Formats: sequence, structure tokens, C-alpha cells
Amino acid sequence: MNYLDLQDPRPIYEQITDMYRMLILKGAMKPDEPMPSVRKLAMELSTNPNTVQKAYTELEREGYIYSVKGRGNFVRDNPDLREKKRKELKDRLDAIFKEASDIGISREELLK
Amino acid sequence: MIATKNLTKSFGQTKALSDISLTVNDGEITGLVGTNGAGKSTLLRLIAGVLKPDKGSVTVDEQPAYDNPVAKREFVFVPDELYFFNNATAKDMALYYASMYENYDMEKFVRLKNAFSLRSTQRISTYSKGMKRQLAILLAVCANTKYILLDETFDGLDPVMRAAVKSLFADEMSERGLTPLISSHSLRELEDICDHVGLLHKGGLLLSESLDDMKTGLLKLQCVFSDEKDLATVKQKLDVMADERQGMLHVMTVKADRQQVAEVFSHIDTVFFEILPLTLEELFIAETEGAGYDVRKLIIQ
Amino acid sequence: MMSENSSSSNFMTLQKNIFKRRKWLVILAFLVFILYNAVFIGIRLSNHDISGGGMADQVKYLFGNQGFNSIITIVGAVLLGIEGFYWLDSRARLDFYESQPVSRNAHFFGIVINSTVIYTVSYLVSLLLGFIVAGIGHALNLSVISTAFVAFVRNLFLYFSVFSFSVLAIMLTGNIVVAVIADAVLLTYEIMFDLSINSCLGYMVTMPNGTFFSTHGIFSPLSTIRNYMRTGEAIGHNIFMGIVVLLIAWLLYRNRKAEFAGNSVPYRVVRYITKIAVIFICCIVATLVFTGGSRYQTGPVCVVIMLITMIVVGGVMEAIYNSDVKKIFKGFGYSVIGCAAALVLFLGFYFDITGYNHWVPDASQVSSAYITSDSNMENFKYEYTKKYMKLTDIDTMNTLLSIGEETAVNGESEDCIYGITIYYRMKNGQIKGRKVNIPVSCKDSLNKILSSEEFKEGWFRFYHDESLASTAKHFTITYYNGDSTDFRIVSDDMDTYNRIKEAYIRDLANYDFSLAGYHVPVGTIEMQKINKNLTGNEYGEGAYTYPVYKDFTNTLAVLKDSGLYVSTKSSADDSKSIMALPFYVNTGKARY
Repeated sequence: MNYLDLQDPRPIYEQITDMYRMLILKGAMKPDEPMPSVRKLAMELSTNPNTVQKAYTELEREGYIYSVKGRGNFVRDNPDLREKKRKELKDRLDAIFKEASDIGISREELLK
Repeated sequence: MIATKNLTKSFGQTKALSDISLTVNDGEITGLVGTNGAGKSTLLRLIAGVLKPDKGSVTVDEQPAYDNPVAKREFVFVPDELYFFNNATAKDMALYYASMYENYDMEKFVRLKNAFSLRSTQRISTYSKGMKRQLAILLAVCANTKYILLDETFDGLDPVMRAAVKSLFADEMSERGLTPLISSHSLRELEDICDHVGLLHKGGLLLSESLDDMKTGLLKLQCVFSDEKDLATVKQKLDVMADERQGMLHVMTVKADRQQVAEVFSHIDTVFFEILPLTLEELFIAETEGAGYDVRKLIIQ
Repeated sequence: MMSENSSSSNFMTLQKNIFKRRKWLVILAFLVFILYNAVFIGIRLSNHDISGGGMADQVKYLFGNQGFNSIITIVGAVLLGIEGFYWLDSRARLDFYESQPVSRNAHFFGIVINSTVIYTVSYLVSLLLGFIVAGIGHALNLSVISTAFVAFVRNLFLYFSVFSFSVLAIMLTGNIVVAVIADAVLLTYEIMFDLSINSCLGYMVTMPNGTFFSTHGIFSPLSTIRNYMRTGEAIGHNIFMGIVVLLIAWLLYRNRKAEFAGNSVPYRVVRYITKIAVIFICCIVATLVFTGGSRYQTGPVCVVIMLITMIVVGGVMEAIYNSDVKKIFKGFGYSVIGCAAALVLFLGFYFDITGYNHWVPDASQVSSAYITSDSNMENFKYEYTKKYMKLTDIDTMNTLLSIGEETAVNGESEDCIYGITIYYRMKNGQIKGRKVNIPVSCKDSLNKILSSEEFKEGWFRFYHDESLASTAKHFTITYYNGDSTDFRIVSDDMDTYNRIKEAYIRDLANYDFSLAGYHVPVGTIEMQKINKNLTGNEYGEGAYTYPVYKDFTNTLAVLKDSGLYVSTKSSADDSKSIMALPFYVNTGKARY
């Protein structure tokens, strides 16, 4: 990630977390691979290191990465993540189907 | 930590600042926003020890700022109107700052100067305005002081320079815990990088909060009610700060968190409902409107 | 954790930085001092024949107080003082300096010390170079060196005082233009005040020559220089004034808020006092410029001039104070006060409120009187008359005085003798004088006085010739004929001198106003001592002159006898010698 999308209305730390969630889930970043240092990423993105730190804290909380004191942050080997994401996507899909059926559009019609 | 307590300053009959109490925490980027004449420069100059408080106090690491070299060693002040010696070059100014601030890092200055393409031997008087501001920032950063006070310094930089300076600050903050205090009337800039924002208006401090708190405390929602009567319910149960109508569509600014909003709207039928992130500008307007002022026209992008 | 800076290294760093930002002043100081004390003096030396003692004396004066170093000192002190602190007026500069870790006190005194160092070192270096140059030109001796150093110390005191006033000026104001004006006022206000009063004294038509008003100049440094020039009195109190004023300036500095920057005179009191003072002085001086102090028919003109000056000067000052040309009528009341004060003073003189021009003493308060004449001031006659003429007929003197004053004030309608000053020795020790024009209708009174022994004893130096007789190793007696076309001279002839003296005193029995007022002398006797100076050259000193009239038969006999007499060629209408006769009434019809 080399730059931020200035038009993106999402807060910066959200853009960072979304980006890395994507990379990790896709498998573009392997377990135990080092994350860029807070300093390096902040400099690259021209943003506040506290923001990067916040993003990393959130990613750590969600189980995507883990931190080693004095060494930095690393990608967590977490098979549950994929499943969690699948469930989340499925819930969203269900909500969409419900909304369609509420106004009388059947599944088949929706998927046309 | 920089702290002001009940800080008041008048110029003759005009009260520039009244009863300002705020804190600047170490390791954070703090922004000061306000309209022109709100008192941003005055506040910064009080912190820099250039002005003397009429009432209240301003301290830098518990040292009073005014006429106190002990306090002043902890920061470099970059004012809105820059001053360089006559016929000075970047190097001349660096040498001067080095004589003033004992931890000055000349090597870093040379490196940064080259990175920003400023030439040692060129007279500063021939620089463009943006280059002058850049130079001022570099000179200040290389003093390796704990704090750096910037009065509308960002406002004179183009986006490329701004990004470069932000990266520089990121580096300095990570490496040695630099604490920048920045005033600006560009809310978008501050929004991107500040941890903490102080909002000044007509000499008063309308709020001083961490950006996160501000953003979670206020929400913007767009909705279309099935039954317009539900609007009253919403207004009753939530602290609605603003409500704009475009036909059937309401755009409301609400002082509540997501849970509260979800709670209230779960019982209400809506044709359309969405929670949107608030920009700092919208927060600013809502807060100042809430305080009774209509400053919408005065915001500069 | 902060490391403690040693205060001496802080001091040196500050000094270094101040020097750097005043580079051009340092260069200028050295340049100017060296140009004068070394180059200029060197050029003067090379333009003259090297003749030992004389050159050293000249060089002594140039290094010393008759030279240019005081002027350089004054200008330098003003520059150093104002340049040192003019950054107070710029918000950008203030933000720059006052946000840096230097205490305000350190900054203030750092600038003071720095300025003094610049002045002192450049002066001393130039003196050193000057000594070398003088040495090469064989014009250097211990006296020259000591004079130069004594002058240096005096100038250092002067520098300190002028510098302090300049710092005060900029503390009170801020804007450079206003600061220079304020500085000029502070440095010279006593002189300015004197000038104003003295310009009004032109209306005191009976004021004796050489009288002038002086406040004595205690406070403003330049008036102390003036006093030194006039009377040689010490100016050590310059350093005292310098310290006091610098302390006041420092107190103002401590009080001076950063937000004053850009405000040309932040203290309102200062603005208005200055305005009143400047307008007062400008109004008075304006009248002098336009009327030259001449009394007649200038009264109404002067009032108009003052009003115009008040409006113009007041407007300009307000424009500067407010940096706004539209504000010229602000504070008009203060302009009026200044002008009113000037008017009061002016009209007081114009209408002679104190009655100066009509003063006549109470005879019982007078011990004696004497007369001097403008046209006979040479030969140290004034000192002789002051010592030896003791007129006791005070009533007659008072008659002459009152008529003479009247004539001087109101003009004459008949022939007069002019330029006579009547002095009274009062019993309380004071001497009071009035310059008068005496009309010829006072003939009787004049005769009475001029024929008296008291008058003659104080007017003709034969009566008390001790200084000539006792000290003159060499003297000459010269007789000039009436139109100065020829003369005869004899030297060291004491015998002839005594005979002339005795004959002249006898002839003076006929001397009175009728003689002196209407007759032209047929010739003049001149006695002169001859001295030798250090180089062996002779020069004349103290020529005493005595008019010889046709009626002075005894004197003429002795002159002819001793071969001194020479006759007058042209007629008495030739007016060349008439001008030097104090009591002669110039009717255009002269006769011997």
C-alpha cells in the first residue's frame, strides 16, 4: 500500500485495516510475515503514526496480526478468519435476499 | 505536556482569548482549528512565550512559557509570518538555529534539505513562499526539540509538500517522539492527521477532544421516514443537532453513538436509512451551530 | 533530561549572533573611525611641512575635542541604539527572537554590551592606527597620546548617554522614523528650547550684545557638549544620565508588550507630550525663519505663521502616529495647546510684558554705571572700561537710558548715536545693561557725562596704562592721518610715549560730546605691544587707539615735534574712519 485514496470518505485507519484484512484473507500475506513497521507505513502514507498504530491494534484485536515486543507486528496464522469472513458475507447476503423478498422480488428474479 | 489553564488575553479593548483550558499530550498531533480572528495565532504565541497572559497560565512541561528560556528550549515556533536574516542562505539559518538549540542535528538538516531540493547557497529571499515555509519547517524539525509549534504553516504548502512534511513528522514522531501542535483553517488537512483537535471561535474554546471521540460522539444519518410523524419521536429520543430536509430525505446530525441510534431506529419504519461518517467540517459546523453561531459561510476549505 | 548551559557560553553565543546580524554596522564603525583618525589625519600631516611642535599640536586637536570624533560618537550612538532595537517594531522579528530560548534581559543587555564593544574597539583601533600614522609623520608625543585618550574617555561618556537616549527613543516609539525624530528631540530639546527662546529675544531690542538664554543643559547630551564647547565644563554627568536613562529604557522594555509591534507610538502619554513640545518649538522657530526676529509690523504675520505651522506639523505628526493620512486632525486639542503656549511666549516677548525694554533702575540701588560702544569693542577696551569707568551721576544716566530705550523701541525722528550700551553696577552685585540709541536732543546730558573725569578715566587707557608700561618690552607708537592714507611709526620710545600721554590728558580737558559728536579726528594714535612667539616671529598685541582732534593742540605739538605727524589729504567728508567713532553723529556734514 503506497498511498491513500484522498477521495475515500473512510477514515484512514479504516482504509489501512480494510486493506490488510483483504491482503491477509486473500493469502497475499503469509502467516508470520512481518508487517511494515509503524514508522515506515506512516511515512509511506504520509500519515500520523498513531493512526497506523490504531489500525494495527484493531487488526491485532480482530486476530489478523500479532505483535512481538521490540520486533514489530506479524501476520497471524488464523484459519478461523476465513470462516469468520465467510459467515459475515453470508449474513449480508441473507439480509439482501430478505430485503428483496420484502418488496416482492424472489431469489430467482434477483439473480437474473 | 503543554497545558493552558483559564488563559485569557486582551489587546486593548478586544478580548482575543477568554478562559482557554486545553492540553497538548506528548506523542500526539494536536490541531487548532478556527475561523480567522478566532485566536489561533494568539494562542500559539502565548504558548511560544512571545505574549504574556493577562489571566490564567500556560505551561510547557510545567514551566511557564513567557520569557522563560527553560521552557523555550523545548520547542521551536514557526509563525505565520516567517523571518529570515537579510541575505541569509539556508545554511546561515541552520547555523543560527544550531547555536540556539543545543541538540541541533546539522547532518539531518543537510540530508533533509537535499531531499527537499533546497540549495545551500541560494539566498532565501529568492525562494518561493512555499519553499520558505518548507525551509522553516526543516529548520525547526532539525532542532530536535520536543515540540514544534506551527501557525498555519501547512496552509501555504502544495499537496506534494504537505505529504512530504507529514511523512517527515511521521518519522520524527516514531523515532524520537516529536509532538507537533498545528493551527490551520483547513479542516481537511487536520482531519487526516490529528489525534486531538481544539476548536476556537471568537476567542473561546468550543471543544477540545480527541478526533475519535468527536467522530463517535456525533453521527450523520440520512433517512426517509415512512411516517413523517416519527420525526418527532426521533427528536425526542436523540440529541438532534441539525436536520436538513431535501424533499422527503432528512440529513440529520445526531449527538449519540451507533448503538443508541440503532436502538431508536429499530422501532421506526424507514424507507431509507444510512449512517454516514462525518467530516471534520460537518462536526465543526454542528458544534458551532450548537453553540449558537452560524459559521458555515466562514469555513475555508 | 536537559543539560545545563553555562551562562558564559550562552553569553558568547548571543554576542556572536548579534555581531553577525550587525555586520554592516561593525564594518561602518571601523571604516569611519579609521578614515578619520588615521587616513584623514595622515593626509593633513602630509600636506604640511613637517615642523615639529606645530604639527603635533594640530594633530592633538584633531584627535581631541576640537576634532571630529565627537560627531562620529553621536551619530554612531544613535545608529547603534536605534538599530539595536528596531526589531521590536516587527511582528515577524519579534515572533522569531522572543520564541527562542534567550531571556529578554539577556537579549537587552546583550545588545547594549555589543553596541558598546563595537564603538569602543573601533575607536581604539583607529586611534592606534592614527598614532602609528602620526608617529611616521613625526607628530606624535606623549601630550598627543594623552589628549587623545582623555578625549576618548569623554567621548565614551557621551556615547553612553546618547546611546541610552536612543534606546529610550525606540522603546517609546517603535517605528524607525518616529524613533529618530523622538531621539533628536530627546538629545537636543534643551538646545531647541534655548533656540526658541533666543529667537524671541530679537524683540528685546535693548538686550546687550552677546546675551543669550540658556537652560544650561543638564539632561540632553548634546547640550552638555555645547556647554563644554562654550565653557569647558566637564561632562562627567553624561555617564550618570546614561545610566539613569538606560534603566528607564530597560523598565519600558520589560513592560513593552509584543503586541505593540507596528504601533508607531504605543504610549499615548508620550504621543501627546511630544506633540505639544514639537509644535511649541516649531511655531516659535517658524516665526524666526519668516521674520528674522525683526520687530516692526511682524506681530500679526507671526500669529498667522504659527497657526499654519500648528496645522501642518500637527497633521504630519498625527499621520505618522496613526500611519494613516486621513487621521491628520486627530488630537487637535494637543496641537492647540502647543501653539497656544508658543503664542503666549511669543506675544509675551512681542509686547514686552516684563517691561524689559523700558527698565530704568532705582538710583538708590545703583553703585555706579559705565558705557560701552559697539563700534569700539576691539583692543579689550570693554574690559578696561568695565574695570575703570565708574559713573556716579545716575540721574543723568537714567535720563539717557530711558530716552535711549524709547528711541530703540519706537524708532528715531532725529539724528542719534547708535550701539551704546549702558551698564549699571547694582548694589547687590549684579550688572545690568541695556543697549540704546541716543538722540542728539540729549546733548546736554551727553556733554555732562562725556566731559566728566569719571568717563575719561574709564574710556582713555592712558589713565591706567600699567599693562603697557610695565610689560611691554617692545612697543610701537603709530600715528595715522585722518583718512588713514599715511602713517608714521616709532618703536620703543618711552620718552615720546610719556610726552604724548601727558599732552593728551591735558587736551582731554576740552573733550565732550560737542567735540566727539560733530568733529572728525584729524588723526589717530595707536600704541601696540610687540611680542615674540615661540618660533621667534613677532606679532602685535593689544592696539590701543586714541583719536586726535584739531583742538588737541598739545598733542599735535608733541606729534609734530617727534616727527610722527602727517597731515590728512582728503576732506572730512571721506567717511572711512567715521564708522569707528563711537559718539560721532553722522549727519553727512562732517568737519574737523
